[in-house]
Amino acid sequence: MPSVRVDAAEVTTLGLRLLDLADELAAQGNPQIDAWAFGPGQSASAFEEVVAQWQLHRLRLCGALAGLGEGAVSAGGLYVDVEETNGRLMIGGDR
Amino acid sequence: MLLQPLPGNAGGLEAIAHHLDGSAARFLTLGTVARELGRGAVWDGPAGEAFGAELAQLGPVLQRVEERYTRAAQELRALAPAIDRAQRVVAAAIAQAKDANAQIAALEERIVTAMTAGAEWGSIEVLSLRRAQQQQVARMRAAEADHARAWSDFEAADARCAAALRAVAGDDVADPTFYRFLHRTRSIAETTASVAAIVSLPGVKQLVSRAPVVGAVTAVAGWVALAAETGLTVVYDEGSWAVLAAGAAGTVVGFGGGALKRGATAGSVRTVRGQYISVHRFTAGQRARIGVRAEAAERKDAFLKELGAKPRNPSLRGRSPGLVEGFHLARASRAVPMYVAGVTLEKAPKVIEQAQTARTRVQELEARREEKREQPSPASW
Repeated sequence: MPSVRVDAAEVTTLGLRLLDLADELAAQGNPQIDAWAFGPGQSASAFEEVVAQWQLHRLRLCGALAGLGEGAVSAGGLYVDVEETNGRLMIGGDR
Repeated sequence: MLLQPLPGNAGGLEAIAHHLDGSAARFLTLGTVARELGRGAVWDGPAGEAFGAELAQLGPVLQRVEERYTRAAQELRALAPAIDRAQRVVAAAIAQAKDANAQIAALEERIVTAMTAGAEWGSIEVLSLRRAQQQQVARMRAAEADHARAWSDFEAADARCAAALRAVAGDDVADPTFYRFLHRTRSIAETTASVAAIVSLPGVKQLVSRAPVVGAVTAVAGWVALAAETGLTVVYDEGSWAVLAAGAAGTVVGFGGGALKRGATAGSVRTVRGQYISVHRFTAGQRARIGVRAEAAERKDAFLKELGAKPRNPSLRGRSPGLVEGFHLARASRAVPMYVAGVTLEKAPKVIEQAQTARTRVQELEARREEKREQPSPASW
């Protein structure tokens, strides 16, 4: 089975990507603003149902992405800290 | 008959569809990576496994949302040309009707002038003018019929689109009815209750005292808003306990309100200023909320502890060679932006704050790495 090693920087980057997605997802707002494009029919309100009425899952998804992103960034940072400490202990450097 | 222009914008619909496709593409990428992690990846260590499992749980929701947005974009793309066609016909019909109307008025004027000059109603000159006028009336009627037909075609296309969109919206990520009800109720009741602030002004208060029903309406609205907030907070972990405590304190409560107030303010003490301050006694709802948070914090602590106890790079074995690349694609700057129509969500600031904290941490790490690079290497000593 192939093996992929992900280093500290990659874990941190992964965290940031997740946080970016959480940001974008949280920023999805009021579709009523776009209602003018639909004209006078019923499509605008139906569209609002499609885009706005999954808020419960959206907020949970958003929270999960933000939580995972934050966790990954913390973990990535922790690795960098540990690597630096180990580096100083093993090969010397600034103490 | 005054013909009305048809509102709407095909280009606007195309633009929304384009952004929906952008959102769908990102959800698809993110969902694919999440599914890959769930199916094929093997993480080293329980913390990594927990991370992968959490991520994999997002897969089905992301897939539903991707389908939802893709189908919505298709429907909007189908509606756009129908609006465009109808608007062209409607605009042409309005122009034709306007012109015909002007011609009718001008011919009317010429008939009056001719008859004032002595021409008979049955004379060739007047007959010719009347015939021309009848032709213009026919043009106007034709324009009205075109307008009605185009409007009707639009209504049919709109009805098809609305039905298709409603079918899309009825999937299993749709908000539950009770949740929608609570949001709608809170919104309406808050608007009504805000009148209470105006009513409490000295001059207005005197006027309102003559109409006690106004006070009763605002009191009931305040109670309803509070009840909706309670539902959202306790059932969906979405409302605000602070709002609940302050609202219960400030709302004139009637039947059932006393229990609500006790529930909302339990675990709090009232200061001399009338504000509630939380102490360490919690209601069942608060305990549930705190339990969820504590569990999340514990999981995060375990995650970090596990990683800290094993100071080595995490290893991911399995079928996800493009892990970070996948997420990079999902958030590529050149990708079509997500559908964003305004920032109105209450929780958005929390997410943004979380993201900001994490980004600050990354900046610190980058600064330290930069600093390290600038230091002389052991070889140069």
